[in-house]
Amino acid sequence: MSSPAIARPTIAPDRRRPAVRPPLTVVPAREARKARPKLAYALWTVGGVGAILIAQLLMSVALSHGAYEVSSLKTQITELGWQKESIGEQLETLSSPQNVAAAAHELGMVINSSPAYLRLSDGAVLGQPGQAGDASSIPLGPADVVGNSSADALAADNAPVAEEDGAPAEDAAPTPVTFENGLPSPKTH
Amino acid sequence: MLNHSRSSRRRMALAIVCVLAVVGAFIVRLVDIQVVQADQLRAVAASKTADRSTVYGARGEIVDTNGNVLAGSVTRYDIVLDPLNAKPFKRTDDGGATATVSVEQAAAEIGAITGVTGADILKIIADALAVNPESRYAVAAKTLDVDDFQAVRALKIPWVGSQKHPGRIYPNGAVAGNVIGFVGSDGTPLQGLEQAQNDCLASINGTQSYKKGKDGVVLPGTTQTIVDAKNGGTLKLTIDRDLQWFAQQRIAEQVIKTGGDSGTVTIMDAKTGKIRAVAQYPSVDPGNVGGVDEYFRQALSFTAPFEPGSTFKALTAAMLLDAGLATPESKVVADGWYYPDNGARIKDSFPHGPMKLTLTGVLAESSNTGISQMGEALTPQQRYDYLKKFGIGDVTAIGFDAESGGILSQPDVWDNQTYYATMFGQGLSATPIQIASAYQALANGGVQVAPSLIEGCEHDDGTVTDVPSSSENRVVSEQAADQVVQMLESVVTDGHFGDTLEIPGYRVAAKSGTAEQGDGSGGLKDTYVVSMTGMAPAEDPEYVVSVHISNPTKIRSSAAAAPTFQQIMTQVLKTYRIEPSTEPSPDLPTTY
Repeated sequence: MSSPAIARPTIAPDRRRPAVRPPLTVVPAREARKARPKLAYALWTVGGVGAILIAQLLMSVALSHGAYEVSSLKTQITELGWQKESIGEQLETLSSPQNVAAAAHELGMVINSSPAYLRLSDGAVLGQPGQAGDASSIPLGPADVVGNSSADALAADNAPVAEEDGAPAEDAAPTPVTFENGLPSPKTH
Repeated sequence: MLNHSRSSRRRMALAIVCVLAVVGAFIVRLVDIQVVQADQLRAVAASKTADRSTVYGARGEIVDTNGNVLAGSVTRYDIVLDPLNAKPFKRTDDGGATATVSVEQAAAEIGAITGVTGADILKIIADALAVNPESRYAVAAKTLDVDDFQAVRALKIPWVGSQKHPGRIYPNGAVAGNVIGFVGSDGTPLQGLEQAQNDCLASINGTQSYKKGKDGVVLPGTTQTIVDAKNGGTLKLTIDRDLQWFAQQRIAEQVIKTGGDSGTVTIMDAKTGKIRAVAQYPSVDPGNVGGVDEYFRQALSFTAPFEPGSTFKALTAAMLLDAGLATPESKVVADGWYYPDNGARIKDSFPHGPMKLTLTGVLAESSNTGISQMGEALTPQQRYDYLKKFGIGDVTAIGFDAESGGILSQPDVWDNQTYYATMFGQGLSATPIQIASAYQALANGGVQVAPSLIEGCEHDDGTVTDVPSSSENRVVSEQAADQVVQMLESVVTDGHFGDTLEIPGYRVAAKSGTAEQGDGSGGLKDTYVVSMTGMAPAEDPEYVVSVHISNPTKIRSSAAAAPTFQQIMTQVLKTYRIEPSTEPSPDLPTTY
């Protein structure tokens, strides 16, 4: 099978021209250099691996740093949550009817014991308006008959604070404003 | 040449053997670690980094009809100590200065915040160490609020820690306290709606797991929810907080003033049966349960029936009108005493000679002898059936915790005295809620709407459950009901109460009651349960108010309840901006 394939080249070159065999030479140094693995590739590869490693290191540093930041922000959320809770509790207690009634009493307010209305459309007075009578006073009877332990606790908590706040507030009372130099205006830039 | 290659090969073999041995050792160790001991090591590792914590679901709030919080959920903190490590420590203040803090000083600082002395804190430490010299845990204070907790935290004492847990606050104190009920210090619902509606309010605590570093910081991406926490639903009541407070304050004032031992007030919407206030004195502050006797921690308006007395004459009159057996002008001669043929003895509350009264006059004068003679027209079975329709003898649709249905015995066991007494509210018992509900039927054209205390339970996802069905039931005809209301106006205009019941500009209908009470040993007490129940405005009643004072000693008659009724009704009319009446009262004739 293979014999004709071998036979043909031995004949064909002879037919065209005499076989001129180029002289054997040493592979030129340039070619050899070209064939050798290039240092640049190696550097690229090693550099790439190094870069990946460094990037990974930095990322994990950043991530773990982020964890501390997350943790500190979470602490902040918790603390703000505490503040919100504390203020919310105070608000609910302060808005209790006992507290509002006591505040109204301090302001000298009384209960309207004879309901009457003013109709806006025609100015008519509906009902029979009357003076405040016996039933108008607040507090309605003893103030402690409808107890509120939350409000009592809040009042106890706030009592010393109010005193502390009270003193500087008086010092900081605004001085009388004079208009000798024109209207006072805020300094802005 | 040959020798050289042989020794080199031998060296090579040795090296290979060594390398293989080392690799083999590594492989053995690797398999040991990765396969044989894997589970054990993983568990040890997890125990150092993994942790789990409870995520608390918040117990639902109880709010009034306007959304004001009556019972709220908060976080509370227990302060715990590490007695073994309770030693002096160095504290750096904000300015950067460091100072050594002694145990005594630290204890005094904690005590100042938690309300005890430093010595108390030192005693807790000493006691814990006495029981166990290695003790690492002792509770210094329980259920601190967030401000106190932060104050303790700011002390930066290394051997002081905290544990948080859910707590309950009642920002309005005793306002509606008896209805709301309360929870124990561990959060267990104990009474009132807190207990009865626990299915709505209860939350489910969740669990989450996470991994943490050596310094306790949670590693990112490791938090896993194992069980979801679920918040409880918001229970909305029909109660109006401000009206409730007003009623409580007024009834308290009057009970004290009249020397009574307790009192209740019910305010009910006449069209819908919704209870806007259910007040009592003495009342419990759920935040301070120990402040009142155990008996007064229950909601007396639901749980404590009594013989209602003359307020029930209005019901008997409605029956007579509905059955067509009388009109507001029907005539009777009422004497101070009435001795019917069956042997009963009926007496009026005040001595008088024969009075020529109409049915209206019988109500205005509150004559027992008059209503007894007229009521004979109805059979006991008829009256029993009507009372049942008014809701007497049955627990209301509210079904409050330990609610009583009162006592209404079968007519065949009524004795001769009871035959008559039931016409004017003796010989049977009813709760304030039942009385208000019966008057609601009269105020609403004869149609009773089942009373309700709860609007519904709103869950986290917005769905609302437990909305009571507003079932209606006609008790008497519209005409009969309206005529009774008109007759009750005469109590205000012509009765014994002068102007103490009148509200200028409004038509008011009311009926008094001064009911005898058994003393528990067959006799009668010399004090009464006095009542005033009514509605306004009479031409189209919007609200029913019912006031009851138990055993007043300074004013023993229903005059004790009249001013309170008037004040509360006035407040109701103002609160709901109800327009003054434009027509005058019909002023039905009371005598002839």
